[in-house]
Amino acid sequence: MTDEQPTTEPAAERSHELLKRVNEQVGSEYDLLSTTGKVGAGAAALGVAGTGTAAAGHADADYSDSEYEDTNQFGYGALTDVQIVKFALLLERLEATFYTEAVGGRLGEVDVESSAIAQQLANPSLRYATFQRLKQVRDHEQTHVEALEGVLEAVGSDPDFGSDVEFEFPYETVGEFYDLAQVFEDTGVAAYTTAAPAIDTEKYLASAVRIHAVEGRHASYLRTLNNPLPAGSAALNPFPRAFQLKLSVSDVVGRIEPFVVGADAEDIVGLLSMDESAVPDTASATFEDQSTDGSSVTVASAALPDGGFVAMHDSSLLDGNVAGSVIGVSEKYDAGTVMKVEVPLYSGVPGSDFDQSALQEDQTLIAMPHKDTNDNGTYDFITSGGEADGAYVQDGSAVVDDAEISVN
Amino acid sequence: MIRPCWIEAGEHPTMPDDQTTDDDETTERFEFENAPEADNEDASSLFGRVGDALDRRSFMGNAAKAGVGAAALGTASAGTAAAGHADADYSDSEYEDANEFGYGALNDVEIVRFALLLERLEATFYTDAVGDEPLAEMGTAGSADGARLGEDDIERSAIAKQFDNPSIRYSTFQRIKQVRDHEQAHVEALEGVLEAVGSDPNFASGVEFTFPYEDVGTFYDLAQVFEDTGAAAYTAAAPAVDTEKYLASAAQILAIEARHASYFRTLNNPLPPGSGALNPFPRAFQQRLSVTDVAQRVVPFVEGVDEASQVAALVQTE
Repeated sequence: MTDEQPTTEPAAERSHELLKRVNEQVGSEYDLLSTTGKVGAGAAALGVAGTGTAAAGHADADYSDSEYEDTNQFGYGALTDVQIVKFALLLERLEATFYTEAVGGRLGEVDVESSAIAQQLANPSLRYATFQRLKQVRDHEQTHVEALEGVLEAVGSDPDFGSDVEFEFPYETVGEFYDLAQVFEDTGVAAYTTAAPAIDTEKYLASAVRIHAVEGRHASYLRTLNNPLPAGSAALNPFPRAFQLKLSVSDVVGRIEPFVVGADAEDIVGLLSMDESAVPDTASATFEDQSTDGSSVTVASAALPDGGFVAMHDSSLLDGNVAGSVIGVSEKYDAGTVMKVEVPLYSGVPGSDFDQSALQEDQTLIAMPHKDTNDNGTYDFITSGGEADGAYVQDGSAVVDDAEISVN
Repeated sequence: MIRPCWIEAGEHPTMPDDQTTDDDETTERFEFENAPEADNEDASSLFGRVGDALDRRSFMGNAAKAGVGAAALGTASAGTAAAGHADADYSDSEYEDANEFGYGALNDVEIVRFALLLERLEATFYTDAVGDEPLAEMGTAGSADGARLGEDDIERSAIAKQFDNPSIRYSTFQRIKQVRDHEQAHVEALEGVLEAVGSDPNFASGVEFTFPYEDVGTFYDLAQVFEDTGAAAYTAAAPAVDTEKYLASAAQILAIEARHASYFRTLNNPLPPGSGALNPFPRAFQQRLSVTDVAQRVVPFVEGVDEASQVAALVQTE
């Protein structure tokens, strides 16, 4: 038994009409994959190129290449963190719907456990866990949906994004169901892998890689099970590469488009950017713990319903030192949600003079969104003695977020 | 024969690590309250404490109580407590950042070195087991030169016999060779990173490893431990990687470690059958392991290393 074609995908092996459609979306990838079988696995697999894999292969081939192509190559660099989260949420909704529908009645436990796939497993503890595993994957995908909704909510974006998108899964047999499951999980892990470096907010990155690993585990499990029958043909490979395949935004959209009711690829991309320019209802700021050289700090996101600034206060604010605690202010932004707001410290605050030019010690700083009440583009809060450009207020208090800043 | 402390003679250990989310959450919550402060701790003091922690930890006593594997693998320290916490509420504003796991205190070169040490361990483990025989060649019935396991050993093992479909059963040996190739490719990639930044690519190449298994079952168990550890380490470290291109590469390796782990967990079912299948994906969110947790897992397999602080000495730059 040899494994001449470790990178063969099931879609290429089993010619279900449906999978062919998916296949055509990413045809170049599969074409190239089949050639790697000839070259041999291992290092050769790293050079595999496709629409989205070209840069990956390139990076694999020479890690130290100074001309490394960044993630923009795959389109994620052009998305904001919120758009990446929305994209991930759409994928997770698709998966959650797929499994919920399947184990919620479309497939019975007996269907699964008496299937040819389950019958490959001589150990009953494996065989009779197959249905249970699908329910578990369903639970995971539902949990991922909730987590991503939570992120959107936290940044003032609509957590119901994509909740009215309808999906359809045209499989008729258990085998086809497993094939689709594998396509979705492989797509998910490739998408997270590719998107990860484009995520600017550390805590979302931390969450994303945790989901990413679990999608990889799902994919590997399904690939271990999805072996071609009759037996004797080459086994499918749970880990066809030494480095995870990457897929561009358009590759991923191409893969899910057949399963989204009444939407083509363009509609899906449009969905992601839909309310991106929409003005948030309430002000908020997300300010992460960070290290800095002391000259500036970065606020991960700020929702400014009427536009304005993000002011930075030191902790003397908590002692009532409102004006004196202002140690920096951002540029003026129009109404909307702004990502990665850089706030220079100890300079550029009209009306304030500082006897230092940088943050000297580790400390807590507080970000506070302010309006531009006189609409002149300048932060006049200090010079006007607090009359102009006041803070956004919610439930009687200023909207703030604090973070621990370490100076390096 | 020297065994890692959690593998008892004559036992076929199943790895309770990650087995159920509920248990883990209970453990983590308990550990959370007892967890030492890991925040803002620098690498040296972090590692400095590890020796003490190991002494305090009474592995064998715990192993007896909690079952084989529980002590070394299931016990959490600061890192996993935070993981459980983050699982509970992703949007929690009190989210604990990557510093919690100690990686934030390491620079990128130290993180790469740490990863390289893990990958060298894995590459050595698999090469030692199945030899250098190329992937595409048919395995020899006996062991290849210098290899500890032959194709027959694997494919006639109780693990392989779980599969009625010969295409799965008779690919088991091939899979191990493939994992070996992956780990070797990861080693090369990480060496390339060190070289690119002017750090010594031969870092730790003189470190010798020891893998005290005697049967196929124990080999698979160790494989699972290493892959689970790798996935958990990369996951915890990723947000602490500052250089985008290294993060991009780490993300690619991370997914593969997770795929390996899932495969081994699918195979590593308790025998005799019927005793409840092991879980290839025990959590909705990948477990994370702190630097100290990972170092502790590695220690038993590094020659001449008795405590995690010695791993620290290896990894640290000036």
